[in-house]
Amino acid sequence: MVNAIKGLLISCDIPMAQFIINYNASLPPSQKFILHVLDNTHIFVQPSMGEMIRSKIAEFRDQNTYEKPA
Amino acid sequence: MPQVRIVAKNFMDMVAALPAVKLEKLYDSAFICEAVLRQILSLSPSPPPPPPPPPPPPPPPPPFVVSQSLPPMAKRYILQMLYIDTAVTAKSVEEWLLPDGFYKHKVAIDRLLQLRVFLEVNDRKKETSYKINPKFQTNIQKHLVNGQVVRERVMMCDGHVEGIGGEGGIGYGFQTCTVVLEGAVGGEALTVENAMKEEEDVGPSYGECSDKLLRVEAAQLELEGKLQFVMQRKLAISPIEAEENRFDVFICNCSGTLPREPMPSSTTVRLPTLEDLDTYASEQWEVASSTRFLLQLINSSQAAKLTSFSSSMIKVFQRGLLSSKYSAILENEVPKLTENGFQFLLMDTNAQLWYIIREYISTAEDRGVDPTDLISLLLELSFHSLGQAYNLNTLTDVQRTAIKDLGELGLVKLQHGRKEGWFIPTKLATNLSVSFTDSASNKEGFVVVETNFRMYSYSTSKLYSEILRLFSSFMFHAEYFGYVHFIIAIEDIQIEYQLPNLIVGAITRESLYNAFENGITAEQASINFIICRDIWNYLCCHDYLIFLKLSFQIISFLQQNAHPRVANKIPTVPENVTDQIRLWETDRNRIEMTPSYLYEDFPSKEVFEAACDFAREAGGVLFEDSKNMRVIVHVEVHQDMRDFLRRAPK
Repeated sequence: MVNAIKGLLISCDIPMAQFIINYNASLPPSQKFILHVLDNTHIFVQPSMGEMIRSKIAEFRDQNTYEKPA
Repeated sequence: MPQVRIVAKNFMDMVAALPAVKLEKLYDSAFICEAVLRQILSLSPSPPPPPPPPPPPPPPPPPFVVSQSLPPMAKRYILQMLYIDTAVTAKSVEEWLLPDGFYKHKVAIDRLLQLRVFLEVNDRKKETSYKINPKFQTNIQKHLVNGQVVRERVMMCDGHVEGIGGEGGIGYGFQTCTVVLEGAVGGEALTVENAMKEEEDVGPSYGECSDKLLRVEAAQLELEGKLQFVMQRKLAISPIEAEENRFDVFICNCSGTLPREPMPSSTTVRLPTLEDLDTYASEQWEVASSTRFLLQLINSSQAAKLTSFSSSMIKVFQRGLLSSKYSAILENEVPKLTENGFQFLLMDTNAQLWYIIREYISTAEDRGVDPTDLISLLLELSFHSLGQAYNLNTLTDVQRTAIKDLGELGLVKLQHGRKEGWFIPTKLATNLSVSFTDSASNKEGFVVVETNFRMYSYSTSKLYSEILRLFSSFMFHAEYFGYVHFIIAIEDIQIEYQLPNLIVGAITRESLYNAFENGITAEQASINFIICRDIWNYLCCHDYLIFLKLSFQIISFLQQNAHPRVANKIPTVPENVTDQIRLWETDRNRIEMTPSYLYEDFPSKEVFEAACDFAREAGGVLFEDSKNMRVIVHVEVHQDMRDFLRRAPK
């Protein structure tokens, strides 16, 4: 019988995909959100994790930038 | 017929959006018809420029453009159908085209139908035909005929007239009749018209070379800024013949009569000079826009000006442009700018003007004012001469309130004598009929952007400084020269210095990020194309580029307001700055998330294939993995997929 799972398809570039996978791996098992890694640019995750992922990426981005203090 | 989705960006779109009944009512007035046609022909009723040079040869066909105002093709059709009383079958209209003009033809026809200038008639054979709206037709004919013949002009032209603006969609030769008219009597034009009408044969079979086959053609020449028609009569089609003939043209000047005349100078006390009017208009406009978007409360002097606005205007301004209601301001809450508001600020004055007027008209119904009255008033207003006073008692009550509101915006200036009051249209009003695609802002730019991401703005205009800051930073330093800043959480530029006529700022990643954040917070219910650039419109239909919309807005704002010193540089804003702005924007959009359903565990390959095909036809396949027999579909397709799989043989 065919199974249907509801989730969020994430489509991005390879470094971002790796970032997400790494982030997933760093979480305790109860909080892991990746359902399937489809290929190196697509990931299927739980639907509620969208915002969490975005904020993590934003954090990562900010860590890599430097603003001259005003 | 393809659905040409025209977002109501300009006035004509709004007119087009009116229900049929109201449009018919509008066309009752001859004036409105002329205004619509003028809009269509995109001529501005400004005072005549110096004698025009001989018309240039037809330009090469423009690149693929879907224009927001009425396309030249549509103009052509109107003029061609002007004297045809019966309906013309759609097929015949299509015969007028060259093969590659088909898309433009569709667009033009759609637009004309929308505006109800063309009416569709279905006859028994189920063939569609088009007829020009009879009211519109009579009104324009009256105008043509009643206008004065100003002069006669003979031109030697190429045998081929390829439609207006080198459209290329219609290409057949013309031969004009030699109509020589001397004197300035409209009556003569009448007889010529009649003569032509008699010989007219309605059946458009252009393949025949017959002397008897005549059709009144009209092409447009933009001479003298007034509505003029070139009357040509088409004879045989043979291109060779056409080339051998020269074009003789007569021009008749059509100017309608306004319902009101300027007041004699004896009664008006003192008319302001044109300069005064200009300053008045720009001041009012600035005050109007600045109080609209900036936090009036913080600056007490602005708050005083705010109370002078009528409540209706306040509502108009607030609607859709600020997220919180007016009352919230009293509670010291910070009204945040919505995305539309943000985009509004980046538009140029004409576009802003139109936006406000559109909002004003849309709220008119709520206030119990018939929008058609307003529209007719506005259209008439555009015909008034700049700087001339017009008596207020020629207006109805409704119109008078409207004029008062427009006065607050800076469109007209109200003055009172001892017994009477009058209004004087300013530059903003007379530019009303110009669609904003044609608005060349002769305003001087004021922004210089350097390759080190520094930005210098030379402007004393408070509005611009607020826009840049609004659009700009809340980084607020005590060193600033006594300007009160408005705390709006939008950052674009980090302000470094501010002198009375100069602002120095820097475009930084942080400032841009906040701008992007604020720009995208509001839901994008409709895609408002700010810049009327058709290619951009086309591209924006692709999701990818929607994300770049904001950076595009910001960059275009900087480009359009470039200081004259750098305006001639190519590119106006340095490429590294524009590229960096775009990169920063795309950086925020690295991942794409789509809510979807994953299907797996298919019993057999065939079922999997069938499911995939079904989903593909529904257009919902996001990802397909044949090796593991998994497919991911969009949420919308999920229900159908489920039903399909239940029905499928196990």
